[in-house]
Parts: sequence; structure tokens; C-alpha cells
Amino acid sequence: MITLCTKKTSVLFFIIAFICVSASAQEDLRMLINPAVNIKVKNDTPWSYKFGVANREVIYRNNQFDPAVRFLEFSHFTSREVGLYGKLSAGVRYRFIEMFPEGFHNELRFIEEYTHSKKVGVYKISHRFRLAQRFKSITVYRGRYRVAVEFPLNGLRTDNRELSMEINTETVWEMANNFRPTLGQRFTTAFDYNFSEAVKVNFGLEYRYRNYTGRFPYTQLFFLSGLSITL
Amino acid sequence: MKKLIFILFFLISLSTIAQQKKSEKEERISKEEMPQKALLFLRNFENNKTKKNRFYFEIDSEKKGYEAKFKIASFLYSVEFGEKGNLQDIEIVKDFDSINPLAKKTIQTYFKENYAKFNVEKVQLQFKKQRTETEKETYNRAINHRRNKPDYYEFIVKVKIQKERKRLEILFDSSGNFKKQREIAESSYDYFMY
Repeated sequence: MITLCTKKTSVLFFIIAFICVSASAQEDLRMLINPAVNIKVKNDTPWSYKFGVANREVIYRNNQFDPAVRFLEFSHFTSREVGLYGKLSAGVRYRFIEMFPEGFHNELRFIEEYTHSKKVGVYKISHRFRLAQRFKSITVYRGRYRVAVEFPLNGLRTDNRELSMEINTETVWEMANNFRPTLGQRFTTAFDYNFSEAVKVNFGLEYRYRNYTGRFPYTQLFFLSGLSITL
Repeated sequence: MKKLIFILFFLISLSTIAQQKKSEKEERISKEEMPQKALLFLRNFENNKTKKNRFYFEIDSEKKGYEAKFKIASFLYSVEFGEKGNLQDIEIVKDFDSINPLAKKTIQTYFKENYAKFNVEKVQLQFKKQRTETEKETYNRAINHRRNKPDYYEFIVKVKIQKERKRLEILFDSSGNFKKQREIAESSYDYFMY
């Protein structure tokens, strides 16, 4: 059968092009890759659990390709469904940074979040409110809000071996003692591909405009990839 | 490293096998891929200035079928056909508040008695092709849905049963009496955490 997703695909390519052009227009651009693997444990109760491992590498900075590993990260989230569309989660992340040549301090991070997801037609709209405490050489507090839209690229739902697309934007407010608070904005577009009910992969681009209210704003372009396994 | 790759593949295989469900697929198709018989029937709607015409093919372990979706005035229509293009039913999306008041009251009572929490996400009037009528007669009943009672009301409802959240498709007759229900598989609502 012919796949009819031209309109949505055009939107996708427009967004990707916009992110690439915006990113390349910045002088202080850093490009990074961020592969991640998550294992989710679900059951018939309102509780679910997620265990993840990820790593981040910078591949481009100072106007040249200069690869270096940033960190290796392990994470865990415990979530509970609340109401008909909500989910409360608490999580912990540990980043091994010191073991890499350019690393300074390992980081421990606690995360609390509330997510509200509802479908409107074929579009799933999610709002996420997140608080985080980052313990590294200084303690940094973050407040974040993300709105995301996800939709199938073929038909009315995403069946196995079909693609869906996600677009989101997130505001990040960061505070620490003796530092001015900073604001950042993130724009992400990603493809999700369902191999089966249990195995999914995603690929995407994320453009981060960081500290844009401060004197030294900078931008980052992330090449995202992820594997998610549900047990 | 080899051990890690082995464990990863083992987990993927295990989870795939453990969670295999009925093979079910739905995809958008072009008008030309619809059965001729179905297209012939859809000509009935052409005088009503249809907008946003979409066509779909659906397959599961029990049956194959086709579906046409379009808009007439402010109403969304969904016309379902069998594998050979025979009309199955015509559905029209409506607001819960605009259905027959007596049926609405009966349905509301059913929800309150059976679910701790519920939210009506979609209501459709369903005009089923009866054995005793022609396809044209089903069309006439459906297109005059403001005057005619539907055969069924089809509800998509998000409910909480004990501590579990479910999305259900529930069928009520024209008086609002419960007929049957089935659970709709939730697609994953989780995102990757970057």
C-alpha cells in the first residue's frame, strides 16, 4: 500500500531544517550525541519503573570536530499513575564524569515530575512539570516545563513497524547560590519506531539555547538516539 | 562487552516474545485502493459537500476491512466496509450533550455505577446496515441523523476500575442500555528521557 504521509513528513523536514539552520547560524555551537537505553517494567498496578543507561559525547566545538566523552549516566525512575491522565514520577541519576579526561565532578541528581498526557484526535499532547536538584561542585536547582505533541506518520495510530513523530519544546530555569538564575529553551523533534509492543527506537535532534538571559548564551545541538525495552 | 550485547539481545527477544499480541494493522490508503463497491456507495455522500476525505485499510486476526472518513458540515463521518466493499455501518461523531436526553441519562447512570472515575472522550452515533434494508436505506437513516434514532451509541471512555486505568469502547443501544464493551490497547504514553 502506498504510504500517505507527505504533509506530515514535509512538516518534519521543515522542523529539522529549521533546527539545523538555527544551530549552524550560531557562533558558539556545540554538537553532541546522546545514545540511551531504557528498560521499563510495567504491571497491572498503577506503578511502573524505568532503568536507564546513557552516555554523552561532544563531537563538535570551537568550530571544529573535537570528540570527547562527557559522561556515562545511570538512572532510575519510579512512577505512579494519578487520575485518568496524570503520572507522578521520582527519579535519581548518577553521572560518572571524573573518569573521563575532561571531567571534573561526578553528579548526583534527584528528579520529581508530574506528566499529563491526553489524546486529541490522533495527537497526543503531553505537559511535563519537572523539578531537579543537581549535586556536583555546587548544588544547582532546576524547574522545567515541557509541552510535547506526538502523532503517527501513517494512519490513525502507530502500529508495530510504523513511525510516529514527536515535537516538543521545554523551558529550563536554573538557580544556584551566588549565581544569577538562567533561562534556557529546548526544541526537539524525533522519530519513534515500534519494532513491537515491547521494543522501540527513536532518533532525533534537539536544539538547546542556553542561558539566553545571561551575558554568555550558547547553543547545543544534540543527535539523540534511544532504545526502549518494556518487560 | 560481548556479554553486555548478549544480555541486551536476550532481553529484547524475551520481551518481544512475552508481549506478542494479535497482529493488528491500520494504515492510510489512497482512494484508488478502496474496493469499487465501496466507492460506488460513497458517491451517495458527494452531494453533501464532503471535506477532508480520508481512506484507511485495517487488518486484524479476525477480519479485514476498509474505512472512509470525511466531514459534512460540522459532523465527522466514518463509513466502514467489509473486505469486498460491503457496507458495515455509518458512524457520526456527536457531543455527549447533544444525544437523546433519556439515553444520555441512562448512560450516565451506567458510568457512575460502574466506574470510580470516567471521562467520555468520543461519542458516535452508529447506523448499522440491517439485513432487511438496502445500503441506500442505511445511508438515508444516517444522513438524517438529527431526525432518526441511531441503532447504537459507541463511546470511547477513559475509566478507572479499582486502581487500573483503561480506555474502553462501549456500545449502548438507542435507549442507552449497555450492550457490550472491549478494551482498547493503550499505545505507550512514555517518552524517552534524554
